[in-house]
Amino acid sequence: MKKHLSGQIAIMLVSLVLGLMLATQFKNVQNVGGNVSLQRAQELTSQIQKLTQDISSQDDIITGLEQRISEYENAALDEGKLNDTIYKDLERSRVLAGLVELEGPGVIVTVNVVPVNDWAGEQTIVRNVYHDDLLMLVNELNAAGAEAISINNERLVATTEIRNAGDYIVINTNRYSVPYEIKALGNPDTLEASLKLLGGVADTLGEELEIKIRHEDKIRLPKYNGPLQYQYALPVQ
Amino acid sequence: MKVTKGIWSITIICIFFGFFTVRFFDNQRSIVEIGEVTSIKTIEYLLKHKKLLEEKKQELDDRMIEKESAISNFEDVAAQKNIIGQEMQQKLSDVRSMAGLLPLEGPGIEIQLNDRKRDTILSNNPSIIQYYIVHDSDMLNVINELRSVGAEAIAVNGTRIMATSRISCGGPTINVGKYGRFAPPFIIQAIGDPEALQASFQSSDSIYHDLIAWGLEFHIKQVSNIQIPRYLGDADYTYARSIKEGE
Repeated sequence: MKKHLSGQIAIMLVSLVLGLMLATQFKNVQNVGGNVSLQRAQELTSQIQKLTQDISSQDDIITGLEQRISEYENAALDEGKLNDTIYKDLERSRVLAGLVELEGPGVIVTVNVVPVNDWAGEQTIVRNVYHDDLLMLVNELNAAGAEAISINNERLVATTEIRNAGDYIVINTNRYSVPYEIKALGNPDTLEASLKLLGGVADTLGEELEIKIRHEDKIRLPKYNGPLQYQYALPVQ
Repeated sequence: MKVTKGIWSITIICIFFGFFTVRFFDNQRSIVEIGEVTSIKTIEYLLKHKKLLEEKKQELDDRMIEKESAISNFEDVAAQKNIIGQEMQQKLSDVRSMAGLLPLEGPGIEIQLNDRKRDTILSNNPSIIQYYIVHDSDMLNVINELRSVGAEAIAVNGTRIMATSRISCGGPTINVGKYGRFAPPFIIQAIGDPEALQASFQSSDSIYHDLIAWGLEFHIKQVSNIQIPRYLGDADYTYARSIKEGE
């Protein structure tokens, strides 16, 4: 009788432990099935955001296209008018491509080196201006809604590079050196405020370079003078 | 006596069974390595929402193509009637390509940029984690380097990069252009001479070496045909006014 009892207790204990293990494991597995990583949700949210933005801007574009089509339809009967419509279209694209001079309010930022005397009393500079500095300034102006930008009379277009080459900086394949003059069209207050943000670009660069920002009601921006032809890229048919 | 012996063998078998059960489930669990979690319902909702939007976008894409081809039909007719010459038509296409108004295709490269994978070094240095992630300035430099070797059109995660596209920090994401907001991995596509584009990252002052040194992922792939979408965004100037030739 006593032996029988101890056997039952042993089985009970084993079953208890096994039961607990199974319960814990099932709970874990359930967790995995029921929950998903937050990263996946963030990814989806950002994809949805992008789609929503694309859709709203596409709506605008389609409205614009419809307007152009009606212009064409009105002009279709009249050859001279058709010519005008196409010419107007070309002009509009030329403005967007940076092939037309622009004028408007904005800011002019001049970037120059700061002269100092070194240990021997000889004149030198704190440091030269590098392409990162100009890239940062241009990017900040873009973020503040600049409509068009030029550096030392090189209009910045979609393919414009700003790259170090020794003591020079190459912009649109032409070489430039200090001082650099960045002209940006847009809301002058917004443009200036974005640069002069506490700890912003002007503060950061201002420690080692001379940064001057001034408003102007009428700034004239040059047009892009580089090559127009594409060698590799073709319009998608 | 015999009964007790049987019980002990059952006990041993049960212990083994229990052990292997745990091992089995444990193996399964380790495949699904999850950090912070959210409910599966949220994901289902997001997926449904995304699908709806994708359908809408497809519809708009089709309409846009339809309208654009209607316009190019008008231009074709005009060209046939010799109102505008072939030259003018070519010029229109060139200028529109530059203005970002046409989707472009051609040979080029595709770069995949991603944060460093979680590993022992990363978890030991939480204070300097900033060196191990892709920053807006890194992307700006990559794009600038592509431009300097003659990239003709560039897109980041399907967003065409224009002259006024900003690339700025948005906390865990990078903002690209007016509307785009992306989390890693970032796909940068560029049309141009594939060899030249790839070779630019071999030059000693390239950002490539910095990023690789910190263990970030930077994969470059030559592609024989890349399609880059048109620029989506408003094209109206509020402040800038165009000046006619000779004004």
